[in-house]
Amino acid sequence: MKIQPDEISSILREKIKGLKLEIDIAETGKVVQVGDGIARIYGLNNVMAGEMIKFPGDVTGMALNLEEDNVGCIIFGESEKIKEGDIAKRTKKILQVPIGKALLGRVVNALGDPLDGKGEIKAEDFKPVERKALGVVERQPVKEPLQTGLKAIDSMIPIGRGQRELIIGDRQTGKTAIAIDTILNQKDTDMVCIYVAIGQKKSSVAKIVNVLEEKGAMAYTIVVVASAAESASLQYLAPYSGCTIGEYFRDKGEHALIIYDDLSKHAVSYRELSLLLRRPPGREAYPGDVFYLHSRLLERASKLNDELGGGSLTALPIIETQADDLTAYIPTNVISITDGQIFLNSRLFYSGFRPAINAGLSVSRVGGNAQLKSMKSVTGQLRVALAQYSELEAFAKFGSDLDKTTQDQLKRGRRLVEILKQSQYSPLSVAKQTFIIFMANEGFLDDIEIENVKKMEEELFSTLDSEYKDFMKSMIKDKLNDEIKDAMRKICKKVLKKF
Amino acid sequence: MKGILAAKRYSQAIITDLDEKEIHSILSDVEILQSTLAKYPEILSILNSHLYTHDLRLEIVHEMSKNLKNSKLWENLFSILLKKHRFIILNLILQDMEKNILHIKNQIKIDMTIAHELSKKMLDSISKKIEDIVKKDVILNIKIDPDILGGFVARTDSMVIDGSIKNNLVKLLNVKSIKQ
Repeated sequence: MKIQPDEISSILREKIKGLKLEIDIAETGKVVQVGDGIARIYGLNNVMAGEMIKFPGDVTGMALNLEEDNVGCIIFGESEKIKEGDIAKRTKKILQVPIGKALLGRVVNALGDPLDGKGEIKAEDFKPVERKALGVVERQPVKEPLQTGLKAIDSMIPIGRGQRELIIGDRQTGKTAIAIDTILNQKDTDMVCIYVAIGQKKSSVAKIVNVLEEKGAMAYTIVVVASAAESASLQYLAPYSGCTIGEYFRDKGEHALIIYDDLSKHAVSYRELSLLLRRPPGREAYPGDVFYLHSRLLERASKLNDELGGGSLTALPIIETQADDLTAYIPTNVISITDGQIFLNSRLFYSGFRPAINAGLSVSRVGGNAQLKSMKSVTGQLRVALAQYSELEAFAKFGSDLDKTTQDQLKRGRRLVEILKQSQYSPLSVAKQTFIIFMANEGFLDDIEIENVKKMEEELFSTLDSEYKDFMKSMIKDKLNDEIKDAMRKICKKVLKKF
Repeated sequence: MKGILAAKRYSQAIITDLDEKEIHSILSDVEILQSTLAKYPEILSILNSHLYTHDLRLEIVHEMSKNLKNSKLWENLFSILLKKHRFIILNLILQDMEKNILHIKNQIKIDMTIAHELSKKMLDSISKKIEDIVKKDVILNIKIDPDILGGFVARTDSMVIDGSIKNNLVKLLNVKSIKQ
């Protein structure tokens, strides 16, 4: 961009001509202590909890502790610029972030400032990061499905729009992969996705953004980043900012999906802030309100009633466990807040079962109502068969002489497990998922070698894509009736002939 | 921080139950003490130091309070501060007392910065403007700082009223406003 001095001086001249001298009145306090991203301010008697505070050098903070003689404030940005005795000004505004469609495709920090070098974001409006969750009257039950594109989830742990489904598991078990696959699967739908990265390595975030860009998913995605290099205050703020951004779409009657990756690190950053603010520590040194920290965030996910436009905000919080311990403090808290959990097991992951979902410990409490009828008609059988398989598999290890029924059940189970495996970044349509599960349930795969199940699946999908596009569209519209089932059986037999 | 809290308690304890006449005499005592301590800051270090005996320090505070209008009250306060080894917060106590007494009299002390000497008429008009904002009678403490270019900046403990040309120009030169 060329800078033209004439243009600038004419703008300035115009501005000076129209200059109206103003008097700024600000309530102020004095910084008495600063360090570790925390400042203590003397004064600011009328400050509100959560109010934005301005420090010299354009540094922003947020009042968190209103004490008898001082105000405890968290600082966003460079706290090194603040020194003792500095003036802190009230802004009389609760901390706000920009919202609007202009954020789509952008990577922003917890304050909504762009990080991707794509220029300024022209926000439609600014909204407070902390907003009260909607009441009972404004909501309606979850009734529309949110397809993740993953067979194991859409069939057994269905997620509905407006639901809060926890993804939980040890490190390196594929939690983020599920979240990213879900985002990728929203392509060509009316869903807007928000990915909130909390306390992650910048390289990991860059990798995710790269994948989303490559797969064309950034067009409908907003990434909010508070990386590990950022202060605890920004990490604490990021999920609330992301939620406010998502609520904009929900309140307009649109649908949004928000992923908090991850809330364990969020709790840790809040613990750090609380200890620095000298709030009393409780279990595992977390402050007493750590439950409220997450409950008030996740309660904001909702499905609005039709009078309010019927928009939805679906939340997929992620929690990292240590050694598969679901009974630790933060995991139990978030499990109890959410409407179900997808539990990923490291043993399954390393034995090659990916996504490593433990079907026994995973549950979706409300998603069943939102599941498509066509899918529902095949999953009942799938769950039963899988449960029987896991029980028999353990039993079969002790003896070799098994009757035919047991052997058949084991055979079916192995194939079901095999079809539930799915590679990363390859989400499937509901129709394809329904079809392959139907095929396994009906026993068409029983005589296929385990090694060939994947090939068989690929063959089926390519046949469906090339020859049965219209049928696939119509089959998911309602419950699978006998006529459709017969048609499906015919297709299965046709594909089987190739093997 | 703890000092401020403690000073507030002492100041509150002295001011409570004072009648109007006493308030005036206390304020003049406070002003005398403040100017003395500003002139001889070492007094506080001596009174707070264990190098001098308690009796000697008591003698000093007795002499100090003798010439004040409310000598008995000040002597009592000084002996408590000596006993509790808190003489270091005397300045804070005096500041808080001054603030509270002025508050009772519906007055406020304001540090006002101007760019250059102003006529009395102009100062009165600024003072009137500030009085309208703070809704109190204003006692101005004027400081000259050419850096603000023009206008004025008025500061109290809890408020900044910035009507300086510098501030207006900074706002004008804001990058965002040029883009618009």
